[in-house]
Parts: sequence; structure tokens; C-alpha cells
Amino acid sequence: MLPDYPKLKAEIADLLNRFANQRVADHQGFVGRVARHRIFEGDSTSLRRSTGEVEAKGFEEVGGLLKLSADEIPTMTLHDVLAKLDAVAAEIGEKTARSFMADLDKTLEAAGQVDGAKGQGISPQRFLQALERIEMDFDETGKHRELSLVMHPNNAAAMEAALHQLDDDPGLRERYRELIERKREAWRAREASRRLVG
Amino acid sequence: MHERLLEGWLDSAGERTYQGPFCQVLSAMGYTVLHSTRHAPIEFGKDVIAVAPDGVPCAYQLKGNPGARLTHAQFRDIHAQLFELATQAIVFPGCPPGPHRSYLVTNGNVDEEVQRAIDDMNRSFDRSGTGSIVIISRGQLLQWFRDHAAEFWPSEIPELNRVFQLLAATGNEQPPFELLHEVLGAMLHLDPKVEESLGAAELERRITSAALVVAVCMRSFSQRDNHYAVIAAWVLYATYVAAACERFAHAPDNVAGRAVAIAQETVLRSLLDLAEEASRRAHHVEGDPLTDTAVYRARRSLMVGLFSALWLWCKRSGAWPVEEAKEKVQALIDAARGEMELWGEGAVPQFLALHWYQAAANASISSDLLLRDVLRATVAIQKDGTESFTLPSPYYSIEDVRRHQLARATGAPDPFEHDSRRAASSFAEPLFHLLVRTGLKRTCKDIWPDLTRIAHESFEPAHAWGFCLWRTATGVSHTRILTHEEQWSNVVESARCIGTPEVPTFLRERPELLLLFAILCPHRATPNVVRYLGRVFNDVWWIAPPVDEAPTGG
Repeated sequence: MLPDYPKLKAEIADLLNRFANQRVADHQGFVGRVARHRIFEGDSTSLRRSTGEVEAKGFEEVGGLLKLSADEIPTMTLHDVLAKLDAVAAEIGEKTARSFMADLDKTLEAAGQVDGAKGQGISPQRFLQALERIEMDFDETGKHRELSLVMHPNNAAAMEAALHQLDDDPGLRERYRELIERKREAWRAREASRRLVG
Repeated sequence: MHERLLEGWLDSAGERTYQGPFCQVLSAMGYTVLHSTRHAPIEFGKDVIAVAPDGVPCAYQLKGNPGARLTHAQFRDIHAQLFELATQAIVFPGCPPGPHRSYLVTNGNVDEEVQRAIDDMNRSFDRSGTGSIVIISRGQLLQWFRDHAAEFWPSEIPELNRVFQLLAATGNEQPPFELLHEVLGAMLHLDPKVEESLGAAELERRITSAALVVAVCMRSFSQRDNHYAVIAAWVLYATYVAAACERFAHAPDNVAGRAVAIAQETVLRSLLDLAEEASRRAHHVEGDPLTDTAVYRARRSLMVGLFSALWLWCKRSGAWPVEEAKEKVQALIDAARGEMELWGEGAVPQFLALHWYQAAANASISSDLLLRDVLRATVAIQKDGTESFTLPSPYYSIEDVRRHQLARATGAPDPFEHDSRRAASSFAEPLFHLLVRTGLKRTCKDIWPDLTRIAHESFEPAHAWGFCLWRTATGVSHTRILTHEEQWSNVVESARCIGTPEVPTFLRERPELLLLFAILCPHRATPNVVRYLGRVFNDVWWIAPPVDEAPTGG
């Protein structure tokens, strides 16, 4: 056989893998920023909530196809290789993000946490309504932990306008302040309930 | 090829190295090995005592002459031992009374003068009615090893590749868990994805073969006196053998009892060798001292864990092979415990072993305070930017943790790259249950809020035999969130549980082995295992009596 340069190729393969992993996370968008947890063995997971509910799940295989013909090799540059990998990363990123969101939907649906807008547009009132339904955590200085809003890009402008309105309108601002105060009280009560009794 | 490998191994092995495999072969030939140690005071020239298939006791004196000959000068040195070997009656529990057979075993060749001298000795023994000494030299040993290794020796390219990787090790590395897992898993048919059946007779032969393969594969480690790696290899051998018996539904005591007992003897002997070496040395720095600072305290933690396990083992067995070893081990633990480092949850079993040692040796509150401090460390949430995290998971080794800590500086891949740090623990809840048993209710109440702020993780293999493996492809990773408010009576009920449904009975009945397995593979120190070992090794129990079942909903 002709020389294969296996050591050099292994080093390049390692770099390409790291590039692909990073691009998968980029293409996942919001999901790429969610904490990940490595599972070292087994073939399923189970989550038992404090309420006693158990959510069991198997693993889902997600992949993408990269086609490379021998004819392409002579003229391919590193840039072309990265572009091909990026296309696969985009496919994997989209599939995993969709799968994550579908799982989230299922969990929220089961918990009764889905609030359909029924055709109404995005407004400060709907935003406050949504906040009412969620549990908020605060740090030791009393500041609530950062929240993430996930939406279709078409709704981004409307959301931005609603948030401005919430900031500008004194009545809405007061409603928001009261809501956060209630959430803070609920958080304090939750924290105080962490105890061993008897 | 395996013949060459066996030959190469035998020609490089000292008597301590080939003693275990020699006993495995004796056992496979139908002998019952009663005693195999170089540390017991009853030696009288007898390294191994066994009962032959015809019921006659046999005594063996082992000599290491790797790649050399047993010379007449050496014979003069061992003359007295050989005299004792042949003339002193075997007094050992389980050994039938009456005359015994005597053997001088060497992995070298024997000089003609030595053979003649032994013939002379035998003639004088004949006259006095004492049985003669038979020589078992390199050729005979090699033949036995070949006969018992050949049938199942790894022959496929990937398997051979693993064997070569093990042989190519420099010998001062960490135990090669992954390679041993692959070699033993293939030999003992432990792939959960493949449905198989294996008869008892074939399994028994595979078990002997696997012992010889392990011995050969660990050659570099044995030559470097890397006792820790040798201990790890034989502990894994024992658990994989237990897994195979469980998987193929064969009574492990019949099929594997003797092989595991011999492996355990090798482990015990290596622990004693390690203690002996450690007590001789002025310090415990290894290799380049400058870089050793990164791992020195982790090594001290491991030493304390292993020596505590050794101490607990000897205490439970009711006797130390040599009385001086007890004091040496205690002194080593006392000297090293102040330098221990809880570098991740992977080190928790080492601290647990110390906790149980302290409870048994000192019976003071200090062991409970140690438990409390380790528990607090597992629930302590730290922050790095927006990330909240606890100690790294038990799946990460000290090498992973250090590589992660240095990743930015070295530019090398970070082992934690695909794993966000998170507020979770595999040990917090079982440690808490151990604390509940001490009756320190106030302390438990103080810790409870932190316990509810983290996720509690555990792994449940799909089959009990999967528990005995370093990794298994089938099983469930459990995550559990505790209720904010809990009744003391409920946590007491959980703390009482000592059931271990995920552990094969054969392994559960050998808690010393289970503890060592937990130190080597900390992810196998499941909550059930910690609660069970806590009951075995610690008499402190201030709650209602234990129940032999796992907690409900846990």
C-alpha cells in the first residue's frame, strides 16, 4: 500500500471532531447552551422528581450523512472539508434541538404548563401571564436567576416591543415588580421548607 | 504465539508473580489449595499447601529463577528450608493428617548437581520413612500453563491487540481498567448485547485460562512492583468471574470458588507487599518530584483507602498473616490521612474505608466527624460564573480531574468537555444515611436543606452480572430529586436498608472484595453498596435494626 500518514491523520481527525462538536452546539441554538450531562454506561435514564413522578427515557440515536467520493479528494481544500462537516453538524444540531424541544413539550404538556396563545399576538400582558406560571429561583442577594426566552425568529420584534412596553408603562412595570416580589416570597417559602422534621 | 508469551512471562517472573497462576493451575487439575502466602508464620518451607485429588496433602516450596538455573550455591542456601518442607508435618485447618508429598518448584532449570543433591536427600528421607522431594522445574510448569491457557487464549486480532497493549505497558501506569475489561469480557463472554450460553465445564476452563492471561498481561506491572495495578487486575478478575457465573447461572462456589479464593490471596499478598514497601520507604514521592506535587495527595488518599481496606479485611478474617503488618499498616494510615485529598467523588470510597477503619480501630467520634465532613463536601455547591457544581462524578479519575484543571494551560483536550458541571452527587444520600445511623440527628437536620438542592445519581445495571464489570452497556442512569420537607422517620427507614439487589450474592458475601472493587471502580459504590458495606464494617447503629432490602423509591 501507499503511505497513509496515520498519526498525522489521527491528529487532524481529532481537530475535525472538535470542530464538528462545536458546530453542532452552534446549530442547536438555544439548546446548545443548555447544560449537558455525560452518561458513561447503560442504555436509558430515569428522573424521579421530588413529587415522586418518574420520567424514564431511552437513548435516541441522532446522526447525519457525509458523502465523500474519491473524485472530490484531489481538489478539496480544508475549507471544503469544514463546509461538508458543517452541513452534517447543521443536520445533527437541528435534529437534536427538535428532539429536545419535543421532549420539553411532552413534559410541559403532562405538567399542565402549556398556555396556548389562541391566536393572540405577543403582548406585555401575555408575557406576565407566562411568568406567573413558572417557578423562579433567586440568588442570595435576592436577584432572580437569568431567564431564557425561546421563540420563532418571526416573533422576536414583537417580543422586543412587548418588553420595552413593560419597561416604559408605569402600570405594567408595577405589575412586573409585584410579580417578582411574589415569586421571591414563594422562593423564600420553598427554601424555608427544606427541612427534616420529627 | 501464546506459547512464546507464556514462556516470556515465566522467564521474567519472580516466585511471587507465578505463585497465583501456579495455584490456579493446581486448582484446575483438581487440587484443593488450602494455603498460598509468603507472609504466614506457618510457612516452614511451605509456600503452598494443597490436597491432591487422591486426598494426599502436598507442600510446595517455590523459587524464582527467571531465565536462569537453580544452582548448587542457591541449593545450599535453601537446604534447611527443603529439609523442613519434607520433614515437618503439615498442620493446617482442613488438611488431612498423615504423610505429605513435597515439591520444590522453580521457574528456572535445575543444575545437575542440585538434582543429585536432592536425590541424596531423598535417599536419606527414604531411610527415615519420610517422603521424597519432587522437583517441578521450568519445562513442567510451562507445559501446565500451556495446557490450561491454550484453549481460550485470545486469538482474534482485536483481542490480541489488547494483550499486546498490556504487554507493552511500562508498568508504572494506573491500572489498565479498560483493556482488562475488554480482555476479560471477551474471554468470559460478558457482552450484554450478545445472547450466549456457556456450560459449567467450559466456563471453569475459561476461568483458569483467564487467570493465566491476566498474569501474563500484567507482566510489566509485576516487574515494576506496581502492587496497586496488580491488586486492581486480580480484583477485576474475581468480579468478572463472578459476573460470568451469574450470567450463565452456574453455582459460583462450585465453578469459581477456588479460582476467586486464589485471586483474593494474590490481592491480599499484594496489599501486604505494598504496605511492606511503603513502610520501608522514607517518603512516598514517585518519579519526578516536581510534577508529583499534582498527584501526591491523591496517592496518599489511595494508600489510606487501600490500607484501611486491608486492615478491615484482616480484622474480619480474625487474624493478620503477620502480626507486625498490623502495626505497620496502622502507622501508615495515621501518617497519611492528614494529607488526603477529596479530588472528586472518585475518592469518596477511599475516605469511606478510612471512616470504617477509624470506627473499628478507635471507636471514637472522630470517624463520625470524618463522615460528616465528607458528606458536607459532596453537597457543597460551588460556583464558577453562572455554573453551579459539586465534586466531579465518580466516573472521572484523578488523571481526568487534573487534565481538566490544566486544560486551559496545556491546550490538551478537556475530559470534561462534553459534560457540563452540575449540582449532583452519587454519594451524598448514602453518606447521609450512614450519618443517620450514628444518631447525629442535629447534624443531619443541618445538612438536609443542602441535600435537597442537588440531584442524586445512581446507576442500575440491567442484570446483576453487569454490576461486576467496569462498564456495562445496558442499565439505567437514575437521577433523583428529594422532597424539600421530609420526616426523620422516613430517612431512618431508608438508612436501615442494607439490601443490594444489583450485586450478585457471590460478591456480596465477600465484602472485602466488594470494598476494594468500590475503591477501584467508585461508580460501583452505589447507594445500596455503601449502606451495605457500612453495616458490615461499622458496628455503630443507633436506629432500628437493619432490613435486608433496598429503600422504596430510591
